[in-house]
Amino acid sequence: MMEGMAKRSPTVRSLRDRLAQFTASPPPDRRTEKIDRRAALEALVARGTQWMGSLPEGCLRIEEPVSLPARAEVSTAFFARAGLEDPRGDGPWVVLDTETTGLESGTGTVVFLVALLRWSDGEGRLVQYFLPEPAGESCFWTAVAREVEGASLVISYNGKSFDLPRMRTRMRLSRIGAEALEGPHADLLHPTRRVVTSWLASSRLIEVERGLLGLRRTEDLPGSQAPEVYRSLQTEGRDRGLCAVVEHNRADVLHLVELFCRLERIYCGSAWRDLPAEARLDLARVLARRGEVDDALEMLTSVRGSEDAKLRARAHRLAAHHLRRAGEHARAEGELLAALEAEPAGLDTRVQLAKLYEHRLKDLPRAHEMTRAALSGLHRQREWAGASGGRVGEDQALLHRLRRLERRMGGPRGEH
Amino acid sequence: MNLQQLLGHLRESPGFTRNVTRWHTLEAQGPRCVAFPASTDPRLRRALEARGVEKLYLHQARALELASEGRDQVVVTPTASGKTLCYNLPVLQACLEDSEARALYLFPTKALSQDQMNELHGLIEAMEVDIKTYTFDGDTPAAARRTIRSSGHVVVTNPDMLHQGILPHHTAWVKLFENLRFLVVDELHHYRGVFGSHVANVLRRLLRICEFYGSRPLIIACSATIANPADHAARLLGRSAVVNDENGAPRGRKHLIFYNPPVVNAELGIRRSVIKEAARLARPFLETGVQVILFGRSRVRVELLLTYLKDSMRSLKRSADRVRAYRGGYLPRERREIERGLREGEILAVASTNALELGIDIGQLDVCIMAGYAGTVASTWQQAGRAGRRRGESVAILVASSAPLDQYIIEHPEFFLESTPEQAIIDPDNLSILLSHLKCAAFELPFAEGERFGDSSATSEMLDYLTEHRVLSRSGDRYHWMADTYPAEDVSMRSAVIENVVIVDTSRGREVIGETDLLSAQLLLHEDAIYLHQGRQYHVDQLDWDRKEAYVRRVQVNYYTDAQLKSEIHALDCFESQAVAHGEKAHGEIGLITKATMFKKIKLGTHENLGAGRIHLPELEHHTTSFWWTLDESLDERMRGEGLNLGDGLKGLAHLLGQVAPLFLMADPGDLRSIPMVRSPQTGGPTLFLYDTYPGGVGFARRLFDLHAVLQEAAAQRLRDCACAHGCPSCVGSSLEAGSLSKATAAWLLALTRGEVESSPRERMQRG
Repeated sequence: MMEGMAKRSPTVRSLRDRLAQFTASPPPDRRTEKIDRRAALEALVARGTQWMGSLPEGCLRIEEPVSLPARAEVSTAFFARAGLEDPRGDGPWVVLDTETTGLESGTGTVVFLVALLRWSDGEGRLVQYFLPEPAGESCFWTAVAREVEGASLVISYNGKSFDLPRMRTRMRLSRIGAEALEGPHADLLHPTRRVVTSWLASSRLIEVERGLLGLRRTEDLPGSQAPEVYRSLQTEGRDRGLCAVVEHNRADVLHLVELFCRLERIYCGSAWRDLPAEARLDLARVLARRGEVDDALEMLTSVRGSEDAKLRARAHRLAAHHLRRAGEHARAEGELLAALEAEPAGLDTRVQLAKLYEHRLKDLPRAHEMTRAALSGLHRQREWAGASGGRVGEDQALLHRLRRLERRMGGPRGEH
Repeated sequence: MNLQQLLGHLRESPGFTRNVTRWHTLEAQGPRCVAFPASTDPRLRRALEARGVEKLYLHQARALELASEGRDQVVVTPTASGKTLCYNLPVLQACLEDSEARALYLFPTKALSQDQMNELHGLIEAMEVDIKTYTFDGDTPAAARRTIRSSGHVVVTNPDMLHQGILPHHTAWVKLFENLRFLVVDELHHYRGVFGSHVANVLRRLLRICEFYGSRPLIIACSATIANPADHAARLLGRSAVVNDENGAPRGRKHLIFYNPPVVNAELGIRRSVIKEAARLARPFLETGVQVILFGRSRVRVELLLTYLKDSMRSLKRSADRVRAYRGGYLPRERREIERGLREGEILAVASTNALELGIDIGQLDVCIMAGYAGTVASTWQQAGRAGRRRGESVAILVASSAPLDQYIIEHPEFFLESTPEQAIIDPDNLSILLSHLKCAAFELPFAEGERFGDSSATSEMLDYLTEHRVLSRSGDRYHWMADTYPAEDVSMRSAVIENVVIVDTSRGREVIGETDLLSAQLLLHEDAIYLHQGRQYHVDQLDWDRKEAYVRRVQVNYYTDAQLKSEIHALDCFESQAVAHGEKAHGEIGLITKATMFKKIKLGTHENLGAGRIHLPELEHHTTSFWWTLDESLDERMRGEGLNLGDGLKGLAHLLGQVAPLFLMADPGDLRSIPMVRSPQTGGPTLFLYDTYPGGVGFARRLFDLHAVLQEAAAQRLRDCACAHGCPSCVGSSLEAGSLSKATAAWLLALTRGEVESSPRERMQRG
């Protein structure tokens, strides 16, 4: 009855068959032979790349001179105004961008292409390192580290949270020191975001290039496809557009230089005038906070030409806020009155005015008048919008102010 | 009246003693101590002395000794024996000697790690040294993480966080991994079954990373009493560890009382409710003002216990606020408040799930009442250990439910009191678990050609397989991660069943009342089924198989539904088989196809058939490991001669073995399933399959094969002890389900195969 059921090793079903039940897709085809990547790299090598070592342990290097503006033209004030770290020393600035096998953080994401644009005084040199296969990482990272060494500044776009952590991780896995990456770092993402957030759909580099720099890419490969191109090289030995990936990476750093220069002219020059009014207002807010009140006021003044009354009112109020802090109460009053003119229903403006009259200009009757106007404005708003009009507790605050003013003026005005 | 007087009173009370199957007293034991070793850092010694620790218990001194010899160890001593010092001592000593030394502590739950921190913090503070200890878990704020990574000397975490948050980012933890001197794994017995099999792989990954950074941490593990601590440690940790189990801690006098609620329906074997009975037993203690902890097996039971306890307090004219519940789902702040209330005596009684079973500090309570067997001997001891720590008298009462496991334990307290038969079982090489972690490991560090992951000889074949699937790529002599995913995200370490159906009550809005695995869902939650939940009837309006949701609605009807399941077992791959009396036992891999086909509506009371319906659900296919027991075909005829029925008998045995087996496996009843087959096409004879519900199995089948005789014995005892007439849920299942001849046939089969029945009268006649 139990024939064929004696002790057997558990390999009747092959391990592969058993593994297959846990894997969603069947393998494309059985491929046990080693993958030869040489043929797939031909097009890339033909582009004038230079081998450092050979497969599998070597890497590829592509170098070209580029003409760049003189560094002396970059205002030293730019870094502080844009909230960036200052360069340290006289070494070259290195503009950096990477291509990786994915967006995940963690050790398993491979960085396979790094573009490094060395920007020294009056001259530029763009070097790209490409990792033909992971076995070459040691060679690859030694070369990259040497390229960054001695830099007085690293410039990137979102490098703080993307490129550099991934580079450090992979360098550590290859036991290559990452000290070269620890110098000053100017990540352009944040200063860029501040000037584009109000009018661009996102602050992705591609969007910024188009909207802020007016550049269009001519390459045929979106960056998001780079990981798949690289995976094809590694897992199938196929070239599905390596040159395009390299070109994309090259364009990234070149565009980063343009972005850097444009930002410099926006933050330190007059290029801010080309920005939409709303962006000017955002920029003014940042600069004012960094103590550049005069420049901020100039930007705000420029917003007055805007057709958007609300925006104008906001600009006046912001100007008033900084004028008041500077002790220029009369000018602040002027700005607030202008804001009220631009936006007659502006509740905030009235409240600001009431405060200014009460505490700074000591004009209690006008403070009282403004408070009453604000309160009736609020009531009108509530009639329209129900209880949702105005902030919670705002009417209480206004009533409180009104009573205090009445007390200070000697009883309710109506009884006089 | 104090506790002693109260116990005296209970002893005299026939209403109580009538239901007590055993009153066991463990006598007090004095401490066995040795002096601090001369090498102990004087600061550490002073700090301990200031806290009243003037000498070390035997096991603590032994722990220090083993650590200094560089030997891995597993400490096996009871609850509240000062186990934590067994690792805190060597770790602090090492940190004092070398400020770069690091230690990683692993606890199964978050709440527990909080508590361990307190003790460690206290010692470090008293020493006034700069040893930084941090908890790193899901609640750790992002801002604190950088500091912890670079400067934490002792990092306390849990396996989930290690798996998802630390190992895949190991390059951010260089300081820790380069200097890791100790790996502490507390509550080792907790890591069993599916969860344990995952954790074993997480530890493989951890040690692999340590090797990359050139460290080799010493392992100090702690476990509750299990039958196989050394073996379990070896499988879980991948290294052999010395068992350190000579307990030197003192113990107060302790009463263990086994209490079986009286039978209310002898025919159906139904006993008085375990919850009500547990609450009733608590009352005299509450009246006397003695602190009580009650354990219930589920959240719902705990809430019920609470309700009854509050009623008692009110009728005793005491504040009902002094009774609280404690379970998962409460906020940490609320938990801390309850723990403090217990320590300080403000709270008189607490009803808890096993959440309080682990070493959370709630001080010394006097009485523990367990409403139902905790599922394992180890857990039961831990719960009982909640009452009475080192001094004074204490009581633990185990109140049995009608479940077969409970009934077995209550009738056989020796099972509990003698050396434990429970083995923690894991299978780190379960293919699906192994594959998941192999991916994670490859993400963390490239695999070298010929490298083994754990002791799996299949590593290189699996790496090749992943390479073919473009998950890895081979370059030089290494395999590199080449996918754009984060593999740790896809691994669920704690869930035994891969997919569940969620049960949604639509009577009032949308309330989730429970969930069940796919296999059960086919039977219980098909459309038009009457689903029973907490004794209430629900009609299943819709079973959305794609979304895995069942929509049910409260009803009151006079029938229940019974679904027919067609099971097919195929691709049998027998690993080992052996002849046993009147048959054969085996274990191996099975492919299981199940399909619910139709259901009957059966009238309550009369069991009339009121109608039937078809069930339209897809087949379920499932690969796992199974134990099976085949009986000689000839027995069928013989049974008929005895007026017995093979089908009923197999059904009954399947139920009985399925319920008794977890006793020996530290498994939950849901971890195993049984299928009786009157004639299995694979074995050719009547066969009973007991299989592991986790795909691929985690080692239960193999163990059941070894335990066959013990299982038979336990099953036979359960049958003998059970007072019902023709079967009840406490033994072979209700006679409605298993058939009216189920109990008799099962008993006969067990007697025969255990050699208690020589041969049948008819056979004797035939032979004569």
